[in-house]
Amino acid sequence: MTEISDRDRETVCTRRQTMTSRREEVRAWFIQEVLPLEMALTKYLQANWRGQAGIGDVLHDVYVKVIDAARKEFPVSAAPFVFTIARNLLIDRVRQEKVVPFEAVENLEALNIAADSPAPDEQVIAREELRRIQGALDRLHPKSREAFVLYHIEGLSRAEIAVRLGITEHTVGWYLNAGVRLLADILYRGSQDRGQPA
Amino acid sequence: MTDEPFIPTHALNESETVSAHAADRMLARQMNAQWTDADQAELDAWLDESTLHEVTYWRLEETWIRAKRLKALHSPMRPPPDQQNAWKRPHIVGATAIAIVATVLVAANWSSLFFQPATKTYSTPVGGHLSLTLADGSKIDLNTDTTITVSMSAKRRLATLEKGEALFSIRHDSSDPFVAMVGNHRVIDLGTQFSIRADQSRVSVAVIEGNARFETARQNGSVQTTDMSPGDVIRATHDSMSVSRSSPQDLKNSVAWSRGLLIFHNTTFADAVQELNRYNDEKVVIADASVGKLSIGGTFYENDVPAVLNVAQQVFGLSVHKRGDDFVISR
Repeated sequence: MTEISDRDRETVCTRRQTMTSRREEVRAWFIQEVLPLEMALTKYLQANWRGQAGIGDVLHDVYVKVIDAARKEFPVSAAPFVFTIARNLLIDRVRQEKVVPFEAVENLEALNIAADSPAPDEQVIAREELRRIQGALDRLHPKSREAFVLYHIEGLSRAEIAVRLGITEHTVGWYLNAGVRLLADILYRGSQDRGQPA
Repeated sequence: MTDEPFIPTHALNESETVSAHAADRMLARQMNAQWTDADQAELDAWLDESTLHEVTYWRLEETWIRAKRLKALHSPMRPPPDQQNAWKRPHIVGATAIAIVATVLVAANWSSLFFQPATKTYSTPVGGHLSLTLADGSKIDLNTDTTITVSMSAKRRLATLEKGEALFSIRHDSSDPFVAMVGNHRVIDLGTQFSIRADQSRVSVAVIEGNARFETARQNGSVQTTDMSPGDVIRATHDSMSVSRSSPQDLKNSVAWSRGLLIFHNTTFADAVQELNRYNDEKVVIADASVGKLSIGGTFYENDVPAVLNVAQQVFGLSVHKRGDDFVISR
């Protein structure tokens, strides 16, 4: 009796593990291979996109297409794959929006540059990484920065941060929310905007 | 101080709205110690709704995990207070930036054999990382909880691994081979990348690129020499050793720590947890031997204990309890 239920559980576990590990693989691939391209990709989109939608929305579209394709099969090389998807998406969007002449996206030097550029720094030195994160933190809203420092360095809980900063826990959540989003833009997109919580 | 209501300065567009929702969920997941199955199910449902949800979540989660590295700044190895002032920088975060790399000058026993070599000892705390670039362009990456003494002179290039694990990427010079010492063993590079790990009484050496020579000093004064080529892994104790071969992929995975990752492939849960515990102060404890035999695969961040607990709960259907600083996993 026990034996059977154990075996059943193992079968279920194996099936679930397969699903989870594929998602994990896609996530790991995205983080290691695609995210480091975000800065180059943003520059490429900025140089070639004249439509109504913001760069953030177009970038999200590119990511969705990249992930959907990678779920079926990983490309041999991420950069040409991502930039080809970006180019096709720009062309599609231009056709839909009919806001710019088609030539606007024909300038594809950026594609070659990105495809040839050295692979993302595999051996990011820990200290350099720390400096980069610190540099990014410095550009957050002061409250967001304080909340990050208190949580990650001082190890305070959300409630303790609220007391320390004299604000509600809910507001701490907002500062962290705005902070992590801006931090992502600074780290991956090279965003120059100074932190205004939005 | 009064609470400032948080008023968005402009209406959020579509991608910002998704980002804000993803950030809320990611923060809840990462900051909530009492994460329940119901919470996870709710999160999974939201992630399953669209690829956009998923990719936005991953990107923010990765940002948060990177920010966790700031924890290294909260290190017991910070310099004494009087030294701290001299290091002070404009920002609170910057103040201790260099403290993770506490360097101490040590005169090692054998250094007197050579004329005034530049000898330095480098250490990392638990969860710490350090990448050294030597004067000759060679590189040594230190893993968590590691101490190494490096001695560079015009005549000799020597490193002694006192404890922990290091990845050596050595610029080859046939007239001046690089020598890495660990216990009564030496690894002599013949143009190479190799890793050395020293556990309690066991040493393991893996050659990733090029060739190396492994030498063990015997009690009777003789030296046993083994030539190693890429893929060779030597495991040695004070007086025994074995050689095995690993696939290039396995080797690459075994040094993924130099990128902050742990890669498991058909690894027993017990081994995976033991690896993870090397990098974190809060330890994971497996209460049940049968749990330890489960096999696990995937890529994890060294400091992402919640991700491993998540696998235990969601994939294996195990329960996790907090006991002091530790997480106890049981059936």
